[in-house]
Amino acid sequence: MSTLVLPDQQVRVENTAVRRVRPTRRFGVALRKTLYRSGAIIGFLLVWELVPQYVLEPASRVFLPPLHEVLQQLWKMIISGDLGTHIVASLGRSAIGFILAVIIGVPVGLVVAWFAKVGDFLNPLLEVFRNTAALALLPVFTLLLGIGELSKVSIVLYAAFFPVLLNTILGARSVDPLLIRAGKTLGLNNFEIFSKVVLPASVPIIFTGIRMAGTSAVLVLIAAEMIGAKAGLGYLITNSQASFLIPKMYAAILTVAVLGFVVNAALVALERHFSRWARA
Amino acid sequence: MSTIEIKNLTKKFLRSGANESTAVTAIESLGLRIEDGEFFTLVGPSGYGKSTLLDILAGLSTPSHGEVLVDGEPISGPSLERSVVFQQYALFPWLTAAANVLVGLESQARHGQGLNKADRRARAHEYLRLVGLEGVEDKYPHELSGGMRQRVAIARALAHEPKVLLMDEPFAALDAQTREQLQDLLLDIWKRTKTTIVFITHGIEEAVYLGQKVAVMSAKPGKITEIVDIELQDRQAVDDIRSTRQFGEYRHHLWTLLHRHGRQGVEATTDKTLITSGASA
Repeated sequence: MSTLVLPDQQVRVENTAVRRVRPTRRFGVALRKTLYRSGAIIGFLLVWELVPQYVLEPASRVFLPPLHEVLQQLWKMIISGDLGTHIVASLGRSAIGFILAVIIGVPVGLVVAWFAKVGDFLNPLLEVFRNTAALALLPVFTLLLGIGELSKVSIVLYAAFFPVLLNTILGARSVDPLLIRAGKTLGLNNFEIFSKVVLPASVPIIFTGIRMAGTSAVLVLIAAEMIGAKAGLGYLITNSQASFLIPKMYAAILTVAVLGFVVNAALVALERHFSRWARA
Repeated sequence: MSTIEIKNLTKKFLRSGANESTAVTAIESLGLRIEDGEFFTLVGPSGYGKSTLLDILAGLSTPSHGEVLVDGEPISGPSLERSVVFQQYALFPWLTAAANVLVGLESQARHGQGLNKADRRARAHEYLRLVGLEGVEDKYPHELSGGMRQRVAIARALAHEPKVLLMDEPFAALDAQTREQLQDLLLDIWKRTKTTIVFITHGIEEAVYLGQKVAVMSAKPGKITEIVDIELQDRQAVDDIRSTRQFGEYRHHLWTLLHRHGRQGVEATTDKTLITSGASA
């Protein structure tokens, strides 16, 4: 045993010695790691920049302008405030629908989880709704609520509601029964067990649902705006395409990508913050 | 501080199997009297008789027949007067150590018989100090070792000064050294507070070391087969009391009692668990 372990240990000692002598190497390693991780993205952007200029024929180059043209267009739109208006329109709709989904979904989920019979009754219906793609219902929303803000916010609400609801139910149901017992012996009544034990214990899983809801809120909204709207990023994409303003269309798509990425990153950070005690 | 009287207690469960559900008798016509301020240990093989009894004492489940009286009053549900320390600590992971200890104090305050906010904080810190945990007030359970978590749980159970402390194999998940430290801590606290303690264990040594009385319980159905008075001098006054002749005799006596009933029992495996867990205690 010891002969097996010894050489291994020696190697490790040397490694730490090297690391201590040259702290810059650590920075170098970190830098290389970052470069490696963003390599695919940089590669993709390079292809986007170079292929339209050197590979594509001029006729098709119109449909795929190189990256720098798109970025120039994007900059112009930022300066003019044009882009800002569309972002605000889109974000406003997503935010309202998303916040409503959270405000309704969390309490409803807690009630469904707490009263097992309500859950058993509603569950089949919830499964049907959850597995119906939100966009399939867009025509229904449009027919009933028109093409204005109400139908947009409603479809976002619908899409964001189910992840919140189902994760809240899951979270509240998976609370360790031992904690509920402990709470009872510490003098908590049913309502306090609910608010002081079940709710905080389910927060990490609820936040996973909230993060999923945030992502789908943005995705569904963009699609809804593409079908019928007077402002917003989805509208900007389809409208630019229809008006043959191709760089503008790509600029809008790029904005959507960045926006989705930022929203997701923010929600992941939020989720981490609220479930830090659960990482043990 | 309270007396506990258990009269003719029976608890049956419905255990649902693949095709039919069968009634399992966890406790059968059990009678017991625990005196005010007594340190009472219950030892027996694994099985749900012991924990079921503790659940009933805590008010977390109700007996099928019979009754349990605390100071002459029947138990009607969980109460701050009867605190529980569980084997798996059962700390609220989203609360700091001090906030965990505050939970009972805060519900006491909500019922209008507690301390004000500043006093509650002071009391929580005082009890954390009592269990030897000064300076970890703001740490979360996942940042603490198993032994420290169980200390927090003990402080949480005691901070609102209950009359009875119920402990369900509280040290079973700890390593031997930590376990001995916490046993001594518990004895210190008991001497100081004179709280009635009901302590459930499957370790014979632990039962003898802690209890003034040791009740031997058989499983399937759960019954108390014998109650042994332990007349040892102050445990901590003697060096290594566990290796004295007297201690050994108690240990052996209980071992024999448990074995006799174990052999009579249906499952030979019950016997095995008992020996191994007894040795590790």
